[in-house]
Amino acid sequence: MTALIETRDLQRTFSVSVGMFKPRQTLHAVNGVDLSVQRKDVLGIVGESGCGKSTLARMLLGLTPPSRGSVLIDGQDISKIDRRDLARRVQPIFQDPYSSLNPRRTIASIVSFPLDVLGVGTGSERRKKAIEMLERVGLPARYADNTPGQLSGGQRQRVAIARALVINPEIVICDEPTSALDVSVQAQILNLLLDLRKEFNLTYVFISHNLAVVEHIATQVAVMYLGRVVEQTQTAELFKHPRHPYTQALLASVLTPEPGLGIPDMGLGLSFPDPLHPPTGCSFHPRCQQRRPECSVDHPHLLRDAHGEVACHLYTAKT
Amino acid sequence: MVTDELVLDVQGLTVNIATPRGTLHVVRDISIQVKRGETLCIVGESGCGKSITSLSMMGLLPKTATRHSRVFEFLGEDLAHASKQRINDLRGDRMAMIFQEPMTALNPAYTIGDQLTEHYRHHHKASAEQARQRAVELLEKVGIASAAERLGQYPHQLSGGLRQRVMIAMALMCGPELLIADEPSTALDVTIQAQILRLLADLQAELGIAMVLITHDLGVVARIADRVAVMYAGQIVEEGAAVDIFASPQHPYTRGLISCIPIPGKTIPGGRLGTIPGVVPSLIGEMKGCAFKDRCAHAQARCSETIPLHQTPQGQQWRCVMNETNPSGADQ
Repeated sequence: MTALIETRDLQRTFSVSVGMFKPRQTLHAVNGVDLSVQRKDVLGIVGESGCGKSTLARMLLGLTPPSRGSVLIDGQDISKIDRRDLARRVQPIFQDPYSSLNPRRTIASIVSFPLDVLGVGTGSERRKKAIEMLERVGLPARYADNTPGQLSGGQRQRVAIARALVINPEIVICDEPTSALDVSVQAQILNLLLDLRKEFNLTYVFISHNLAVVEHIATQVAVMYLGRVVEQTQTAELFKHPRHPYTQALLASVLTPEPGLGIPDMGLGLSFPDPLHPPTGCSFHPRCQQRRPECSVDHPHLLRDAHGEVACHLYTAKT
Repeated sequence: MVTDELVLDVQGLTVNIATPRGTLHVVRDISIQVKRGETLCIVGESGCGKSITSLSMMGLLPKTATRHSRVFEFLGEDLAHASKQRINDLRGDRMAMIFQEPMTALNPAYTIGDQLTEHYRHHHKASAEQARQRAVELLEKVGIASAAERLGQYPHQLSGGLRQRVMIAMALMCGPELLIADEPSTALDVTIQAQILRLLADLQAELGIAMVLITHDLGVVARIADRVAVMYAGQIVEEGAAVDIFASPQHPYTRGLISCIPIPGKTIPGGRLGTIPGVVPSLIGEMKGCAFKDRCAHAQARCSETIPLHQTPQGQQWRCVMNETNPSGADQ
C-alpha cells in the first residue's frame, strides 16, 4: 500500500549570513528526512525550536522547494504536480492566527478565497459554501462579514481551519495550531480537529512542541533533532517505550498537572543545539547522558524493527 | 521551608485602567499573602489580570492605571503610602522581578555584566570589582559555565535558556526577600522550561525567598506551587494549597481548566477533552455577581447576586454559590 504522503531523503539547506565580511554559511534545516503517512493517520512531529519542523512543514506544502530529495503524494512527486492541484489536496493551518489571516478582508472572503482561486462555482455559491464551513467549525454565520480583528484567537484559528477545509483537501498540515492559544481554547480546537478528521477522512501532519497534545491527537510520532528524525514509531509505543535518549528527555520534560511529582531533571546540560554548527557524529551527543565514545565520531544509522525506527548508537551497536 | 512570616500582605487590591472606551476593571478586590519560603502561583487565561497584578505589586503599573488597596505591606512596611524614593530603594533590592521575555527584558546595547551589576552597585554602593565578583558568583549559581567570560557578552550572543538564567541571576543579585516571576518559562522550549523551573525551585528553597509565580500552565503550577490562586476576570475565584486544588477543585472554572489538559497515560488518546465554552467577559464596566456565570454549566439565578466565599478547614477558599455540602447550590 503506497503511503498518502511520503518524503524521501528530504533535505533543505539555507545559506546564512553570519557577519558583514564573513563568508556565508550553510545551515542544514532539514537533513535527510524519510517519512511516510498512511491515509487517515495523524503523524505528530515533535522537537525543540530550530529542529527543522516548520521547514519540513513548508516543504510538505510545496511552499519551500527541497534542496535534495522529494515529497511524494500518492507516489507522485509534488514538484511535478500543478500548484492548484496540489493546493486542492494539501492545505495548511498555521501557528499564529493573528498573522495568517489578512486583517483587511472579511471572514467570508478569507474562507472562500481557496474556492475563488480554484474557480469553483459562482460568487454566491462560494460564499454559501464558506458560511457552511464556518458553521461546521463552530463559528456562527453572523461573523461572516466581520474582519479578523474583531475575533478572538480561538475564533481566528477556527477561521483558519475553515479556510483549510473549504476545498475538501485530503491532507492538512498543522504547524503548531494551538501553541498561541489558551488551554481552554486549545482543548476546543483539538476536539474540533479530531471531529473533522473523522467527518472528512482527513490525514494530518501535526507539528507541535507539546508532547501531551501530540499524544492526544497523533497515531504515530516522529521526533526531530537538528534536522533529522531520531525516532519514529506508533504513538502508544513511543510513550510507553521511548528508545532514543532525546525522546526520553522530551517525555520527562512534560509537566502534567499532578502535584507532588516535582520538576524532572532530564540531565540535558546547558549545551543548546546550534543548527549552524552541528556537532560531529550523533548531533545529540553533547547533551546525551548515555553517550559513548563512538557517538562523537559516527553518525548513527537508522534502525528499523518491529518497534519502529530509531537512530542511536545504543541500539545499532547491539545488532 | 515555608515559615509563618508574611513577606507580602496585600488585601483588597483593585486596579483600574482608564481607556477611551471606559474604565477597565483589571483587578477587582483581590488579596494576596506570601510567606517566606513559599511559592504562590497565580494561574489564569490571558486577559484575567495576572500580569497587571504582578506589575502592581512591584509598583510598575502604567500611568493610566490607578491602584487601591486596604492593606499593602511588604515585610510589615506600608507601601501604599510609601514615597517614590522608598519604593525605588526596595525595588530591585528587596523585591525583584523576572519577566517573561528574556529577549526584550534585556537591553541589547549593554553587556550582560553591565546589566547585572548596575542595580547592585546602586543599591549596595559596591565597587565595580565587588559587583563583578557577585555577578560571577550568581551566574555560576544559576548554572552558567565560564561565567567571567559571559559578563563581556551581549544578550544576542546567548540562547533563550541562557538569557533567562541571566534574568534570574539579575533578580537575585541583591538577595531579594520577594521574587515575582511573570511566565518565566513560557517563551522557552519544553526541555529548557523544566531546567529553568527546577533552577528557580532549588534557588528558592536554598535562599528561602517568597516567590510569586504567574503562569497560565497548570502543569507548571502543579509541580512548583505551595499555594495556588486561580484568577478569572480580575478576581481570585479559588485559592488554596496546590495539593488540595488539584485533588478537589471546587470552582467550576478551576475544574474546567484542569479538564482541558491532555495528560499522557490518563486522558484517552483521541477522546474528547473538557472545554470551557464562551469567551472571557469584557472588563469594562461594573460586574454583578459571578464573572464566570455566562460560561458556567451550573449557572443559575443566584449567580447574579453576591457570591459567597466558602472555606474548608485546610484553607481552600472559593467564590461560588455552590459548595461541597450543597453541591447544587439550591437554597437549603
